[in-house]
Amino acid sequence: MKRPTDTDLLRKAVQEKLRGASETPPEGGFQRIQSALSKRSGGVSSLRGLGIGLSVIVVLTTSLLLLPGEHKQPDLIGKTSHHQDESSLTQKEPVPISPDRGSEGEKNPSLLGNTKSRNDSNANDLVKTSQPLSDTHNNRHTDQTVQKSSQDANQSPVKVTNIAHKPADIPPKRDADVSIEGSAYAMSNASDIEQKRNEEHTRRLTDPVTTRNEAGKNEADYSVTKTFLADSIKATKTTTQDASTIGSSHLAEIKITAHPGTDLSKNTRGKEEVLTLQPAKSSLSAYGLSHVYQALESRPSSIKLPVYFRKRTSYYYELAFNSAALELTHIDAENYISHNRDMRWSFDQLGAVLGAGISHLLMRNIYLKGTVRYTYFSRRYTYNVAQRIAGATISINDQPEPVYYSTELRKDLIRHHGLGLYTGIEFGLANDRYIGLGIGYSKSLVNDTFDTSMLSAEGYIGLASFMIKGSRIWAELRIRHGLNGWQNDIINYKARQFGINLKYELKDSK
Amino acid sequence: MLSDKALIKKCSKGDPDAQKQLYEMFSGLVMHIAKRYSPTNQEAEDVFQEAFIHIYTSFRKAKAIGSLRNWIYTISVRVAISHFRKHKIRFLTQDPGAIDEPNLSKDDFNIFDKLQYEELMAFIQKLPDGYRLIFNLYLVEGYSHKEIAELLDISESTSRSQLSRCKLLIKDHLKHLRTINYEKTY
Repeated sequence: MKRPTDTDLLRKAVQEKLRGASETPPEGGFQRIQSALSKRSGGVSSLRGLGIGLSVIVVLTTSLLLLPGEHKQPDLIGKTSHHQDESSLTQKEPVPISPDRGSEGEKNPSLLGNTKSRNDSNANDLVKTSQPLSDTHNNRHTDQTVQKSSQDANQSPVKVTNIAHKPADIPPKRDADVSIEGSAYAMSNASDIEQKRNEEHTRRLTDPVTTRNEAGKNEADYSVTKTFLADSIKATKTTTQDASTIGSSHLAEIKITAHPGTDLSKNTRGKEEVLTLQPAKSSLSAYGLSHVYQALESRPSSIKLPVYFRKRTSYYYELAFNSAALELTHIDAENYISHNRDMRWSFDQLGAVLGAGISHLLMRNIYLKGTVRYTYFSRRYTYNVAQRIAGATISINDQPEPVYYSTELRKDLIRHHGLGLYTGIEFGLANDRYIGLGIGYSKSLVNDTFDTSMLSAEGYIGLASFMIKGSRIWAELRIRHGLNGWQNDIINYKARQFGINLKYELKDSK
Repeated sequence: MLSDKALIKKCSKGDPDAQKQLYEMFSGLVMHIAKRYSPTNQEAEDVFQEAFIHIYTSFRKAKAIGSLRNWIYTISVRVAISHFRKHKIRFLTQDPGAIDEPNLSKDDFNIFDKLQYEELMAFIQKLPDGYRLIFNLYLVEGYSHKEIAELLDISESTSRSQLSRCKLLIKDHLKHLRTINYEKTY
């Protein structure tokens, strides 16, 4: 028999001295507790409101992102329509261009008259026509588009079409051609060679077969070419000032807008962007070239060139469903009996996770991610493998407290709301797989009473993906290990959780 | 007067009358625990209020409450510990070997036996935070050093050294009381 030490004796003496002790409670204590309780329930309501608000934001954003592509058309379309509205005050109603547009031009007295009257007043400036066309306003962004247009235009007999599109990038050599040809049309005593060329142009224009073939070869310049020919044959004159003004005003009006395209796949090709080039029409109408405007009307409203590049920073939204989450805890937080260490397995079911975050490309296939998450669970299955239950917390006379073990399976209907922050690194793997590691902090509330906050190390891996109605769903294994935690009044609540998530990630393309 | 079982059932439904009855039954015990863990009466009142809030809100979650008194006792102790952990209690860590384990003599125990409840409580409240916590957990609640270490996330040696220092203070205090008593009797 071990002899009790003085500490044991002191313990016994203290316990005896304090046994059955009671103190007078503070005055009005119960009222204060009641008011504190009501305040706390108000806090719960605000947390619930926050959750609902977050859900609404995510749903709204999701619906916006899921709108058809037409609604995300470039701003340029809007600007174009704006120009059209402005020009409609002075502009005649656009007439659709038929295949025999050239002959129609001859038959249209208003169109011819308009051109003639202006040409008559500026007949002496003819020779300078080509000069302003050689102005170069370099715009790197338009190079690709204009180069294509220029190449096409080189095959066309008349080059003025390219003036309307983008004279800035036309090489000087081509400007000289324009000048020569324009002069030839203007002179009434043109040489036979030039006349033959004119006739040939007219023939090609009026011949539907030729026109179609030409249109097939050079679709971009099709309408404008025909119009110009018809005009030039009849009017035979143009003005330097008009041409130069038109050219420069076009240079000023040409705009390029980048539009978000379709996200083709996850982090493989990045985003598709479409460059759109469209000349303004109001400036054309101001100088009476209604036929040119009409021609532009019948052309495609813009030329779209897909350009692929990779964005470094993108935003994403995720919606996940936890099919199962396994949780192992150190201390049974429910019994409030100290030292209940048990192997508790709990499955959180019917849970949902809504998240939004930012993903930044650090280097090839390595992303820095930050997420805000809201979680909700409604049901929990708990399986206590061997729950150690200590009968009492105060041992008297150094007698060991009674301990027994129990095994049980329990189903709880709970309301678990959680709000968490996560930051970590994600590595892209082959075949759209990915793996991520990071640190998370979450604060949750269960049944309005049981709050838990936990700092945890988290890891996840994308196991497989599959398509449901055009949406890609990832099955993801998540593991969470509590580093430091707090659950209600339980110190050092450290849970280990691992489970399978089904995740749907919406990428924001902006 | 409701039975414990009925009281638990009604409290879990948030019945104010039952809550009031529970308050009247156990407020003395909870206040005692709160005072024992707190350095001042003001803080004891905070702990007292916090403990009752936890008690009321934990009824719905509790599976089976065997003894209502023990259950409330345990929650109150936990809340008190939590309250002071939030204040980042500093445990003066020192090699326990550096302090000679003070042994309480028979005379010390005799003096201790004569201590009034109020005197003991006043002494406990005057103890430094770390000492007071270990005093309560080891001497009053009956935890072992290992359990205290796990509960407070400290090492066992820290717990031991805190208790040794606490005993030293107790011994000094008893010595002081003995001197006063001697003077009084003389």
